[in-house]
Amino acid sequence: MTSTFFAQALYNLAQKDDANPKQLVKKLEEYLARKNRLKLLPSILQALRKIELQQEKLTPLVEVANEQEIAKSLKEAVAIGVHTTKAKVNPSLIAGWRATENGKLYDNSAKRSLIEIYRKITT
Amino acid sequence: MESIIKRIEDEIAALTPILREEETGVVRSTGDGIAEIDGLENAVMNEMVLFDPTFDRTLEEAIKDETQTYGLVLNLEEDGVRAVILGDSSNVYEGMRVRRLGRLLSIPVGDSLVGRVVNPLGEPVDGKGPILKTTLMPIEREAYGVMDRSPVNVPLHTGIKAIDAMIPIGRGQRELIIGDRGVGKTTIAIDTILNQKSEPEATRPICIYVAIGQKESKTARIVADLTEAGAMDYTIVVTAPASSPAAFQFLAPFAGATIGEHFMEQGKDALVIYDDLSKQAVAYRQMALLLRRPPGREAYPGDVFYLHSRLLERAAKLSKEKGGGSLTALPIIETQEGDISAYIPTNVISITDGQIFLLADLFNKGQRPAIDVGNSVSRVGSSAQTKAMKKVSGKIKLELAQFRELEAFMQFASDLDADTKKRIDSGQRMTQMLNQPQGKPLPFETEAAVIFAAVNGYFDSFEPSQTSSAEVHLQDFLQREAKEVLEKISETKTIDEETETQLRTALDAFIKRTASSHTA
Repeated sequence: MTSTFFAQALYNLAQKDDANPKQLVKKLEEYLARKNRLKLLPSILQALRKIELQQEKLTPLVEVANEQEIAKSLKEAVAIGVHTTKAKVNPSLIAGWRATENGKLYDNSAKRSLIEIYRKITT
Repeated sequence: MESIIKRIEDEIAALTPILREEETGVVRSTGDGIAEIDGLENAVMNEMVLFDPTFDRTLEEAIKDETQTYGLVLNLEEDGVRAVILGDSSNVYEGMRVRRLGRLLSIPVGDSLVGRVVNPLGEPVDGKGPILKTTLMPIEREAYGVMDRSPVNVPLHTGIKAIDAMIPIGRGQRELIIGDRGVGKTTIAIDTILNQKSEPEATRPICIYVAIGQKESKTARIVADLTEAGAMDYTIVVTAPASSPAAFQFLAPFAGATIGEHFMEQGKDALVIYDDLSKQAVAYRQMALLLRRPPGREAYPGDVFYLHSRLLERAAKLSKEKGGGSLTALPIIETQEGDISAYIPTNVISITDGQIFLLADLFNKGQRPAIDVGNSVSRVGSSAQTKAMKKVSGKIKLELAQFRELEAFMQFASDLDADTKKRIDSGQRMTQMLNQPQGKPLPFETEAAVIFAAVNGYFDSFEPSQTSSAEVHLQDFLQREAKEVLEKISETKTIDEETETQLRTALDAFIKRTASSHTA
């Protein structure tokens, strides 16, 4: 639990614009040494990796079915409030686009609609 | 076939993807039936979520594998939620998308469930095809309040003489059946279901048997027995076998209560049997420990009492304004070495309106049902008895209590005075009379007639050890030669002066015939 708190604090500090990651780590080491808690370093690193992975999953992402639709899809995604300028091509969408941000999924793809049609017909 | 193809063509031609906005999370880790999910900040307790395998798959893969695995959110944490997986855990993997469904866990209920065997999600498992025409009801509901209830005053006949005479159960009551393994708890429950066949269809309760953590072979045998006796026409079986996930064993009793409440709210009577709640508590303990909830006494979570109290409070007798229906609960608890002062047994004893305590010693001595009359009680009492049964059963408990006190002296039989010997013989005859074979519940009018015969000394001419067989002969005799007396008792639910005279005449004739057949 304590390692998670340290890792979260370190991550939050690292997100600031003027943050210097190497200096932050050095300061953390000094602090832990003063408190005689250097043993926590490996678990703090592990917790930090976990936080980074979580944040990766929650960062905005737009997927489009093909390259030709990137510009149009990005425009539509930004219009509904998705804050990103990058898109990834995912042919499995068939047509349309899909975006995720902050735990919300915006699905405007043909794949989703076709699956729903299939389920409607077969049940 | 062609119409289906045409329908598909039309749907695809008209396809315009519609933007859908949903809250989703991602599985961080999964194991032992629990999934840790990042995100889902707005999820609520007991909300259903769907583990969506289609997110990372192509259309072809998504259609090929139609498995839909649901989850139930049980822990709300700072950076995510923990959910129990309601289904095969191997379908859930790390990185999988999880969608909130925005509704509490609900199951299909309806008249079409009668005669079927379902799992705790209401899905049929008896191979008889899908269940149609159902409505969804949430599996967790608040129990009815005091003002919506009425007193319990209509009997639920189990068909077991010892219970209907001394520990009567009413419709809307909770009566616990408690004892060690193999003493006949399930037998009492199944015989109660079988006995409902003798009730008129208009007042016959719908029976729901919830098998929690049982062997599938045992459940299959029970279903076969009920089918053979014609009892599946009014019975629903909810099964969460020992091989099912702990979440299913935890949910099964709530599913049974929900199905029963559906009938209760229609103004009908329902009976739900939870076999057994000890296994539900163990499954809940397993889930709570995996959800990292702090363990309490015997490692059970602190709210294990609430688990059973909120379940059993849903049994009720509703007021006339609410339809007058009822839900009777017969929870079963398995004890270890007869210890009714253990944690879970004492919890459930304090919740229910009485208990039927079965003793292994009595069972091994041949007294079946092995009911410890001294420790068994029905807090509803004679309010749940017909006038006929009240009239004949008043003295039995006292007589048996006196017999138990004198039982120790039986070993010194040669030195006892005549009065004590008489009491002992009477007690032995009464005990023999109360014995009943498995699977043979009696209609209440036959019970009343047999108990009338016992308390009025009609078995005194038989040796105590012959009382059981004499009683069987008496039942046959009454069915053949005094059917109208039984019918009158069944109709009027009482033994008035005229009926008593007719009954005495029939019993005298029985004694005379038996005596003459012995002398012959």
